[in-house]
Amino acid sequence: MAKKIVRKVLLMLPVLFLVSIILFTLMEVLPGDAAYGLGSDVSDEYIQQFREEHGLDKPAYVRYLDWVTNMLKGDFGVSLISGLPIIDRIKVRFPVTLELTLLSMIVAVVIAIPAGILSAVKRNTLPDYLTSVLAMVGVTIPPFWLGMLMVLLFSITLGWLPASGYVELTESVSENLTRMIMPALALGTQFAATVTRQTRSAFLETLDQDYIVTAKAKGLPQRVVIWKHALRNALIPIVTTIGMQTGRLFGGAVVIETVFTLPGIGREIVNSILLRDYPVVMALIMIVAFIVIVINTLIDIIHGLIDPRISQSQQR
Amino acid sequence: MKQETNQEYLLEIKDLTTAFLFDGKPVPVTVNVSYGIKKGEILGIVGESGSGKSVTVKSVLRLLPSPPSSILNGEIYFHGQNLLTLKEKEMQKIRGNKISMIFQEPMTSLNPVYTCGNQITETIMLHQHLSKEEALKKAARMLDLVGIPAPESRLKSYPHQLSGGMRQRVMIAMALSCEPELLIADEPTTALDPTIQAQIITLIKELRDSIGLSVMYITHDLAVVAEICDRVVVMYAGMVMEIAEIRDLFHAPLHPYTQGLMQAMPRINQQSEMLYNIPGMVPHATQMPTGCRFQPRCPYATEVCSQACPELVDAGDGHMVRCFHYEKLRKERVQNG
Repeated sequence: MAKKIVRKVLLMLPVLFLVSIILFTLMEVLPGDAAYGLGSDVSDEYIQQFREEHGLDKPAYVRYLDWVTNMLKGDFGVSLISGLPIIDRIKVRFPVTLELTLLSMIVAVVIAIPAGILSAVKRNTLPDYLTSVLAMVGVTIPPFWLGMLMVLLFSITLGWLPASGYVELTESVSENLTRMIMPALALGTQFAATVTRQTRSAFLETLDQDYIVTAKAKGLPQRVVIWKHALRNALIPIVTTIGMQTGRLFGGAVVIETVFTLPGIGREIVNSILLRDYPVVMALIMIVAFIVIVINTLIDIIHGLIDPRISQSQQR
Repeated sequence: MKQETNQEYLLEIKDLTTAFLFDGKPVPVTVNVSYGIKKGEILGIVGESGSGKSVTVKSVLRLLPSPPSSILNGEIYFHGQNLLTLKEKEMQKIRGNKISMIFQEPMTSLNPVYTCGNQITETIMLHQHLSKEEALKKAARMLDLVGIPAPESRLKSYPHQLSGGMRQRVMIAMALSCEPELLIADEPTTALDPTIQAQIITLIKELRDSIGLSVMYITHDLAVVAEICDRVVVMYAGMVMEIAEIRDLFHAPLHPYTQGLMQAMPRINQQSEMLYNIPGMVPHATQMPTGCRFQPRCPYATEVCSQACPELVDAGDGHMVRCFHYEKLRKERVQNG
């Protein structure tokens, strides 16, 4: 198993390499460079000087190699606008986004998997219909709109929760959570709905399998049949869905952070793009890509742990 | 209320009618099925696909999902206890413990994500309250009993690492691990190739002889029936058509349907271009004919057959048959020698 995990981790490298090339190329083909961000009232000489200072006049491949080698050394460069090291900003902003996405993921999974199971086990009864309708609504509702509705209800009308702002977890857990719960729910609803639907269909399929009848014929109580025999088999497609949705969660964080004015990576990316602060944009996107790749690798490893047939085929 | 059960029987099914929902309406798929199995007996249950064999035995263990299935009437007595009125919890103590079951598809009947050892010990620990180590030892003994070489290492195997025949042996080991009194085998060899089939049949016979197991053996293969069974129940379209000792059934079948089944068997010493087949098909549960259910396909059918459904009657020596014309069949047989 350890060998398999090492292989999976090594396989991440070519993917990261590809991402870096695509990202760099995308940035290259965008019209204009950071010097445009300086505005129209600066002199041509100043722009020229700015470009030389930041190495923007060098050929693309030189800049690419510089960028990658520096990144490997842990140096993400400096912001063109503030002149400060990007890594410092990442250290401040990244935990916010990580907390937001993890929180919405946990809330979503904790609600979605039992709801999906309930729905499948009580197929074609009231609980199933209710869950299915809620999941359908959850899938279709845009997160930013849900966020705004929640602010309207819980902050403005009822006054229970603050509408925006951020307090660090280390400072005060309760203050932090009262500000994070709405964004996490707004972000996690679509995720939860998708996982619920996937859980329901995966379970329905699993419950139809012969080994479920075998398990019942052995005299096992229903809860063992469901939580031991059905769950582990149904988990494979569910875990896949969770993995794929995580990428979308980071995308959604961009919008949700803006709605709730959270100082996370998502908002930072948007701001940096508007300011054409390319080094910052590239560093942040590389980090998000890295996380998504790590999560997908984790999912692969978890698959192997859940299903012995998969880990065996990985061995070959 | 005094229950009238036949003391001879270990398990007795009485007037069992099981229905399934078709377009939201319950339609009976088995009607007034009655038969019993004696201790140490191998009882064959034969019939074409869709004749209600599996539905009946799955009703015994109450394994049919409800809805869409429901039991409209009948009783199933096991040690004088009506299984159909037991609470789910009490039923769980019988399943896998007193009555266990093996299935048609060994390839899919074992859970792919747990080892064989895990799946066998699970049953043992559940019913016999043994510790994990004791259960593992017992599981190894069971695998040895069903003829699996190197049982200790096989316990660590996952189902996908075993062949179909091996998996069916594991299923049998699992089913027998709590020393049940009755084994229900639902076409256990249909999906296996003939040599493995012969091995499994021999195994089941040996187990009956060595541990006095009773076996309900469902099949549509009369050759297998001849090989293994003591008595046979013939079912057609959800009804019992004939019940007879194995010799009587093969030498003097009294129901035209049974006779048809016999004729449809390929014979090695008989040269003919075409195999006999019974004309027509098993009717769907929603489109049952009036009168006798076999009447549209029956060469002996007369007017009375389409007017009323014959009762299951004793034609002598416990040979039961559901046909108006069984005397005629018997006479014909005597005349033809």
